[in-house]
Amino acid sequence: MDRTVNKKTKTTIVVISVALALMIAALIAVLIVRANRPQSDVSVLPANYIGASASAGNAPALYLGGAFKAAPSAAELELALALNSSNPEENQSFDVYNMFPGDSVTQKYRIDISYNEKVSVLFTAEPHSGSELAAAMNIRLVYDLTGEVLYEGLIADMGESVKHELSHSAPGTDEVPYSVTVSLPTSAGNEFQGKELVLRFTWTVEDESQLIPPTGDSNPVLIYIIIAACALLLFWVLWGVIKKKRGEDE
Amino acid sequence: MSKAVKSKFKRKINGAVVAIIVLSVCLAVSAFALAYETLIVDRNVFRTGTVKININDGVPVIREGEYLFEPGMTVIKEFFIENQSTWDVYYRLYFANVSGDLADILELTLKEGDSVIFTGTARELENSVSAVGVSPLAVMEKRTLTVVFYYPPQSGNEGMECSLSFDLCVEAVQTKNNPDKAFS
Repeated sequence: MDRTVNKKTKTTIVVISVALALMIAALIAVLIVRANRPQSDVSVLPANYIGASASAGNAPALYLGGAFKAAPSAAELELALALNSSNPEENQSFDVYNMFPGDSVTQKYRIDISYNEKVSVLFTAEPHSGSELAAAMNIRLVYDLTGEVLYEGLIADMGESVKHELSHSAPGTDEVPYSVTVSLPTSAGNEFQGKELVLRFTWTVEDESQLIPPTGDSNPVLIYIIIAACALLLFWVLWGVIKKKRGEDE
Repeated sequence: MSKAVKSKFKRKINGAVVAIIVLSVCLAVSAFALAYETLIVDRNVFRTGTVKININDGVPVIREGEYLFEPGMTVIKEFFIENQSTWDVYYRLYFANVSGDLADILELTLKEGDSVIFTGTARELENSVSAVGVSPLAVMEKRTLTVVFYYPPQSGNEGMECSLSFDLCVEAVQTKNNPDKAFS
């Protein structure tokens, strides 16, 4: 009897270890997938600028340009929340220099959100450095579909996040267009000369259980991993039950 | 092993199994949430420009004891201004800390090329806003200006033993978003 119990204990420990290892492997897989998809959740769009033209000699010209590194499409990313890459002029990060009082720059962002019926999108503009300028510069967030101004005011006064509620009648994916305008008011004084502000824009959802895999998702690796892990767990439970029954029969 | 001990052991094992299942589900949910819930656009960079102007490298336009002014005498001095800003600027010249009786006697003329931007006494140029440059100064442009000191002959001896000292100042402001040439 003792031998049977010991054997059972050993088996249980092995199975539990395997299950845990599987789940840890699943988590590591997620992290690896995230690390190998820098365009998915961390969109770095370099070489976009507004500033003096090198060919213009001493007469600086204001223009917006630069190479755009297109973000992968939502279908490629398999994300419920992703940047839409249908228009290469959108979703670029700001890289603005030589701003003077009265200057204002706008970028458009289009986000694909796959959700059930209602979802609350939270936007934040978090300063990396240069919080001094955050106290002088204004930010304006507009939902372009309706023209609704979601926030307008100092970056420093934005608080934790700006909430935007979305809804549709049936589960699916919405393209949500936003305009972000950053400006330096004419009242800004000399103390703000030669300063730099780096912002991180973040879109999150308040209740991620409302998110669903995007339509047309052809290769949801993560979901497969989770399903496989769950199946393994179920198999292990059933196997335990069968063994227990067999032991009782014997 | 007694039946009670065996039962207790079984309960422990079952409890551990349930705990493992619950933890695994939590782990799976966390992994799912990690991948699905956040979208970030990083490195949005904003830098402000600067306005900086150099006037004659800080060297005085006219030094103490350099000239002994007499009625009818004219002294012409050149100096430069250089735009070290990151944008084109408007500029204006003025005197500060003016002292000495010659301040009301000497007639000054400030010229940008052939264009006269100010005529009057040193006292009138003190903290004046009237001596505004004719055209904007481009980035890194260096421009030579002229100041003419003239002692009117009709002043006679009233300026004898008198002097004049002043600080020559230049104020610059960016042309961008400033169609009215507002200096402050």
